[in-house]
Amino acid sequence: MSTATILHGKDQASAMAEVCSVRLAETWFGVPITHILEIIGATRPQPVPLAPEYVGGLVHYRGDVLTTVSLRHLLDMPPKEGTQAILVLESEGGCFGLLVDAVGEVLTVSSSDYEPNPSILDQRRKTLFAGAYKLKEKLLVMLDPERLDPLRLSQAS
Amino acid sequence: MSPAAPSPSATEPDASRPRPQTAAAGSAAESTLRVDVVLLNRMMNLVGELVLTRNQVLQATAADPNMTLLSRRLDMVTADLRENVMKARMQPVSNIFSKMPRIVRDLSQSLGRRVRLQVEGQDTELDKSLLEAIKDPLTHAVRNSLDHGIEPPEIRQAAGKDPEGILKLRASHEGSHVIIEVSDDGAGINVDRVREKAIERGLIAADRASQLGERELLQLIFLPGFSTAAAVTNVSGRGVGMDVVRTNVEKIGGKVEIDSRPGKGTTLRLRIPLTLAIIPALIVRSVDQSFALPQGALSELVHIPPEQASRAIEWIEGAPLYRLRGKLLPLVFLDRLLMPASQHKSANEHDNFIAVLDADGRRYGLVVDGLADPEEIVVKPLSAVLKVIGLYSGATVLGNADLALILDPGAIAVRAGVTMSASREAAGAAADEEDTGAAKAMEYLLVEAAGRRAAVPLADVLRIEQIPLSRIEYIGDRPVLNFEGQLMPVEDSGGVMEAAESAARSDGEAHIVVVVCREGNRHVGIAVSHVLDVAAGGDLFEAGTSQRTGGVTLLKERVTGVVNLAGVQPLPSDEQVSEEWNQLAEARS
Repeated sequence: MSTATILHGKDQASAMAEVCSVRLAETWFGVPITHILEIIGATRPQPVPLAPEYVGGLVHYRGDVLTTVSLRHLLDMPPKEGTQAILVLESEGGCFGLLVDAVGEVLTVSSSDYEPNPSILDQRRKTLFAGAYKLKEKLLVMLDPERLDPLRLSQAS
Repeated sequence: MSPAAPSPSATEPDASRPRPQTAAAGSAAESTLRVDVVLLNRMMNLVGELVLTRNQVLQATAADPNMTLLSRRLDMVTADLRENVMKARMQPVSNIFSKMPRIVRDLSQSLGRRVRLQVEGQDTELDKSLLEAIKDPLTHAVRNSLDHGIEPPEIRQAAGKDPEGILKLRASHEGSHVIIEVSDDGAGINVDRVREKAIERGLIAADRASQLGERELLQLIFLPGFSTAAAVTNVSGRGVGMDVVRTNVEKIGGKVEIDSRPGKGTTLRLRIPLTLAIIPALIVRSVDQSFALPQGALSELVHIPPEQASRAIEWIEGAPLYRLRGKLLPLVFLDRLLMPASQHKSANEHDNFIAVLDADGRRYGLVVDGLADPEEIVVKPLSAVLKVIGLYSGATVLGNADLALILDPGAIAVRAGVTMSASREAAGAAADEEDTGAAKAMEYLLVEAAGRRAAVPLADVLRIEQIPLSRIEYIGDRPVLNFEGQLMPVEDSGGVMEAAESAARSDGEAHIVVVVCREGNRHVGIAVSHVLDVAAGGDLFEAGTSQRTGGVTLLKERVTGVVNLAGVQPLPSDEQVSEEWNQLAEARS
């Protein structure tokens, strides 16, 4: 269950949550900051031959080797030229990195602006997204770190 | 009389760790400290970050002459720190082996067995956490050997064996694993009884059991609830035995193998990965990436320049082969294996290097695009999604902060063998080689030492290292080299170091090449200026006689002196040194 839905269910009035916005091409996504361990700036992950396609490669992170997931690949976008930013996320299976084009800012959102996934979304995206927040000028699509875990993705595929 | 007289090797003080004579036994407690492993893990990670930062500092300050000295110091201190933190986690297996004599003695007494314990490879080092994890499985295996393996003395005598059974514990390195073997010369496992018991306990259906071969039947003993003991004793028979051994070892990424011959004995082999251990590896390049190849599996390297590639690499129905000294060696192109889908440059467009590998008895050549330096690497585990690819045994961070995947030579052989059916050929080639080994001419490494040519028997050569002259240290006036943590005498009869030093005055730091050779059970280094070639030597006969001349051979049509490895003086031993100290002390008082 995602953080967003928990917040939504708990308090109808207006529970506030902090969300980090990330950009992928022209779309903005949100990740609950409670799941983010660290943000690594411009990096070029080391590709792993024969790995599942959604694996974006390996990066060196605090003395360990971190597996990254390419969000672009998950959403069927062409790979980006040059470097990408990495969100180090924590999930039940351990840490992993999420490759995004750019990291925006931390936004405070209210649960009263939350909407669950629309029914017309395709099945794949339904499992990756966790609803959206209606901001003034745009929609902020929430990502669920648990469902982006490479281990979970390998079971799904 | 003690039935389990521990072997001398088990009781001997550890010879590889000379203790200063002055240190009294009582002070040992004060010189050691208990440290939380979590703290060590954290230190290890921090050192990793420090190494990265150091590399960036080195790059940023390269242009500034004032900073060079400082950053060099930073470089050295960091390298030293990293090495020591890693060492802090390693412990010799003697930590758990040393508990065995007592277990064996107590058990054999209560079971009425006569057992001699032999221990080998106690210095083999393993990461602390792994050592902890194999303690219980190992104890279990030893108890099993005593209870089920070695027979009571009367039965042994009746079978014509020595009434005293032998239990052997052996630890060794093999590729990227540490192997721990528990073997006994007891009755072996009776596979028919294993089948009976497994059916009786309802672990397997009777009709299925009859189809199983001997090897598969042996695997049944790893099933939970299995026991062949007639009665439940203190020692065993409760059916919680081998399955626990296996689960515990597999939990740390290891493997358990069992080998048993009726009447001859049983060997249980634990393969423990070196998750955190440091292994020497050769860094190779392929598909524009660096990969680490464990040196344990590497036997030699062959360079094929682009213009020779089309002739040197031969094909049989799509299977590439290389003639290595007259024998066909199956080849595996790393780039084609890793990226089967994409287009590859043909071999004659660029340099090719063949790394000749020996993995689990399979001999093959791995073709890569380039070679970099050998490095001591720290194995980092891969995440579960990448582990299932099967070709990598881990990843590592290289000195230049790049990441490299560690190749698993055994898995590559299996993978490539499936598609090219070359594995059988490889096994055949390896067997052939053994047969003809004796008949073939002796091979030599042709070297040049300060202008003169000399030959080193190739069979004795372990490694060739290019090192800066500053790494050579001296004991008295004898040059020595700190090689993988051990001191090794360096023979410099040709005056190579002097020549290198005077030559280097003009262009920076002096380098020499050290050929590391095996001589008996020690390593010696031979200082040379260049390595020229490998060639088969011809015997020389003195004119008019059929007497072979010693010390020289005919290499490439020229008479060449053979370096006498046995003639390299050993370093002064511990006793000698302490004797000298004593004499000094006496003289002073």
